[in-house]
Amino acid sequence: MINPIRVFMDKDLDQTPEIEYLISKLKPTPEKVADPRPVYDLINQSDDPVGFAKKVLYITRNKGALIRQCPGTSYYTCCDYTILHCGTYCTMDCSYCILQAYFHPPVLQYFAGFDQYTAALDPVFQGDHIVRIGTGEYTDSLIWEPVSLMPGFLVEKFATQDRAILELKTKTVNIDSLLDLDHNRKTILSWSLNTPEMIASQERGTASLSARLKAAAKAVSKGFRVAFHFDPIFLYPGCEGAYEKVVEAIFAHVSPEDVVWISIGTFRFMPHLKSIIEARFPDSTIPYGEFITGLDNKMRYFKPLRIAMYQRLGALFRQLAPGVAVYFCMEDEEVWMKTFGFFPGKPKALAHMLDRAAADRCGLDSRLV
Amino acid sequence: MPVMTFTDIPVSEVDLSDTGFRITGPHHDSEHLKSSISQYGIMVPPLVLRGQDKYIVVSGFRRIEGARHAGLSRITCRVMPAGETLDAAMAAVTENSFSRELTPAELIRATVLLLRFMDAQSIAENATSIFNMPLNSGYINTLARIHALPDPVLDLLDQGQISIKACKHLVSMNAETRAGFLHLFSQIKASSGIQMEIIAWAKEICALEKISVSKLIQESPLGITNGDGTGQGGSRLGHRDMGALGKQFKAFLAQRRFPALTAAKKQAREQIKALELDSGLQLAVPENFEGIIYAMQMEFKNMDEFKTRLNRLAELADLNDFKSLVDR
Ligand code: SF4
Repeated sequence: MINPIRVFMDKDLDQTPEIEYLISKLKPTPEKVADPRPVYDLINQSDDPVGFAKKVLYITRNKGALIRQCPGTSYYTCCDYTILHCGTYCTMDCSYCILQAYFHPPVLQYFAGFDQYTAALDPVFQGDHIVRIGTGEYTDSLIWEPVSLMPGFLVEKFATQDRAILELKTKTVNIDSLLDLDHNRKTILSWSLNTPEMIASQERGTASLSARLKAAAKAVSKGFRVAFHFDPIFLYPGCEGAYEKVVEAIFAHVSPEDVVWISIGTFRFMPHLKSIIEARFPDSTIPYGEFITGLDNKMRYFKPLRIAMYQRLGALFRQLAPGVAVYFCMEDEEVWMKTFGFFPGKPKALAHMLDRAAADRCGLDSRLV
Repeated sequence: MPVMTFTDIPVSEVDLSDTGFRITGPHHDSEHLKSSISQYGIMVPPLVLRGQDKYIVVSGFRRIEGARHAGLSRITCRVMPAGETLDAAMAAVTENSFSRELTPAELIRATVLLLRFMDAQSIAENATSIFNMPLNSGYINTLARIHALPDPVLDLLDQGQISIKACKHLVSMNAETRAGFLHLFSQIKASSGIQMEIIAWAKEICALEKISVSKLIQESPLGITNGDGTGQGGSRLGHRDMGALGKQFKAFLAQRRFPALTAAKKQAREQIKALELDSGLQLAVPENFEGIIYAMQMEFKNMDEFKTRLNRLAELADLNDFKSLVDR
């Protein structure tokens, strides 16, 4: 949860209702700064900048591009996702989190400015193709919900059009302020899932599996569409049965018709994340799987092991939810073929598959698919 | 600048048992030096410090040992006045480091010697004049921590059986794990890179399997040796090829750390061997079986060879071994 020990704020930020609300929800009074240097300096002084940065909030405006394309790689098939860059970093602490190694230093930033978001999103809403937009790439989408009006603002903004869907991806259960909004099915609330053992040992400060699934059921009861992400999947003794139980638990809470998509992807990481995990999570053995260097230079489980796991889950999805779009984030032709028997190999084929799922489940303009 | 005098002193008055300033290891081979001294005498006078009733060696242990060996009764030494211990320490290090590159163990001994008189920061600031190379204070402290490791470490460093890089990893380990690795490196010989690989893999296997390094070693090909350091046949370990043992141990770790990958590689090797390809045809499977592209390289000297190898390639398509390799 957002519970900073220091809060910094750009000195020239306007006192909008968004900012006033945010400040009213935070304990320490924001310290006004002219630029981010004092924040960086404070974080860099710490022995554990990665851990300390989770307790220092910096309220600012996004000075770069608010809308970005997800960085895929050429070899592994990417889903052409769009990122709405509304914040960085996270207050939870997952051993495998790439954000530990991504920012130098990591900074918990909140990018304020509804006017800026409106200006960036309006052209997207008038575009000639479907866009799937998420805020959960550089932060958890809903850690902000208890202190910020932003998630609600976005839900209502997306509700006014039928060309784009918003995906709020989280490991929290912070959805209460969103439930009664007029969302018009244009917001997908999505949860990253893992097995209870992995949540307990690798995801500090996140909600339990059952709490996440209960939240998903609550969202569905309010007409929201939901999605799930099995990413990262860890391979460990007994993992197949453990992940199958999670899949079964999903459909004990929600019906397949309410699920827009499910992604699956085994753990992969930039090599330098290993030493960070070893230093910050000395009891974790997740970097010690049977990894090889992938064609994108990330460490990946040896391919036959990945495929065997995917085949087990694929079979279960076919049985329990044949109509749900299940896809891989960053896998290649061999993995697709051996798991699902098809490969969305043509340019944008995977994007098309997901656009179709979004159009069907969320009521987007299907002529644009 | 230390004051010193050239003095002819009896060899018996030099205390070789005081090794406080010694930087070279006891294992240094000095046979050639001894025979040179027997024939030509000592060319560069050793440096000694006047002690209470004996002279303490600062630099030149092997020369003095050589002199004794050659039966010389007196030698000319450079003598420093009593009490000049800091100057003596500095001289012991600089004499060695400006005459040749210090070995890792010597670098450690030299650093620890100086740390008796000055802190790491001061050594770092003067490192180029003392060691003939830059050293930062963090590294100096690491060298001191390596020196504090249990006994065999300096011997292993002296004998080139462990690198400073590997020792740096041992420093942060608990005593039991460290002892396990020191025992391991006393039995094998491997390059610095392979030592690092061995440490990483062994540590990871132990973390995954929740076992100690000693237990892992026991279960390895090295574990078949008896407690007294002899192998199953009773032969001393020292007689076995330590390099070969290193390779064997690494292969054991690879198999245990990456069982599926190792098995797949072995199977692919066997399948390729079964194809009995001519020497001019080389088949490469995707690296680590991650990609999906196989490569066949063909070399030929003339048209006849080209045709023969092309025919051989065509035949491969019907071979089951080839199919099962490619359609994995
Ligand atoms: S919830 Fe997501 S963003 Fe937050 S620490 Fe975990 S992986 Fe990182």
